Amino acid sequence: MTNGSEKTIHTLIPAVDIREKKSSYIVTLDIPGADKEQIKAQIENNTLIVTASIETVAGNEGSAGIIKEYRREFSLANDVDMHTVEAKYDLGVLSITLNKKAQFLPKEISIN
Amino acid sequence: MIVRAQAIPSLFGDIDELFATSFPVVRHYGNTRPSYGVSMKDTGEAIDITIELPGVSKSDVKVTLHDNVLTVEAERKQPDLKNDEQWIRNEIRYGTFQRSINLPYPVAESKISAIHENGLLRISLPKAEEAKPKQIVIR
Repeated sequence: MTNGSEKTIHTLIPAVDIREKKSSYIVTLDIPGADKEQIKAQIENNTLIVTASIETVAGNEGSAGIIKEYRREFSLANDVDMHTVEAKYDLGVLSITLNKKAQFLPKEISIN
Repeated sequence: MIVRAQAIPSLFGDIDELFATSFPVVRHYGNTRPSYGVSMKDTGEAIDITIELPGVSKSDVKVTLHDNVLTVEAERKQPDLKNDEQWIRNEIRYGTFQRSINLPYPVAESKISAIHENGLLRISLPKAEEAKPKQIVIR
């Protein structure tokens, strides 16, 4: 930082869409302006935690940098398979696919 | 008995219990981060404008400059739900977005550049020669 100016931290709650499919949930979060490496998604104690820390470099002399801290948590029900979670980041949007465990999927019963 | 109509997430621990309970209702939080934040910076040589456009494809963004007014139009398309799908939560706003910014200085139109990356639209508008700061030589 130049001239000892302080950084400002903005704590932000990203907007979320959640879509339920037959065999999975799709969680979509708006985290614009991040690099993939700045986003962290983890599951801990049945809770999905998404965090991102995006630093904007100070521009001209004397202006402070800004850090945007995104954070959102979701408690997961027991139908979510914690071992097959997938995430991708595209166009500033993080999409997380949470598959349902096989025993919670609808089953068709054949009639003899 | 007091019934709280809507849970408001705290700043640091918005624990959504939606997966833990049944979820017939799509709740909307009023204080989530609004999309389409705009920031504008004067670097001395140029005006740098950054607009958050998450989920918007490059082909759905249009930037025009007219009479020193910069206009950004964008469309975020709503994903279609298939028959067996349903929304559990829907906070993200879809549709069209338009924002016009009155530029504080005349800009060199031929030198404007725009980059669309990771959901951010960055426009750099170099100032016209007459708008740049000039140092006056003291004799």
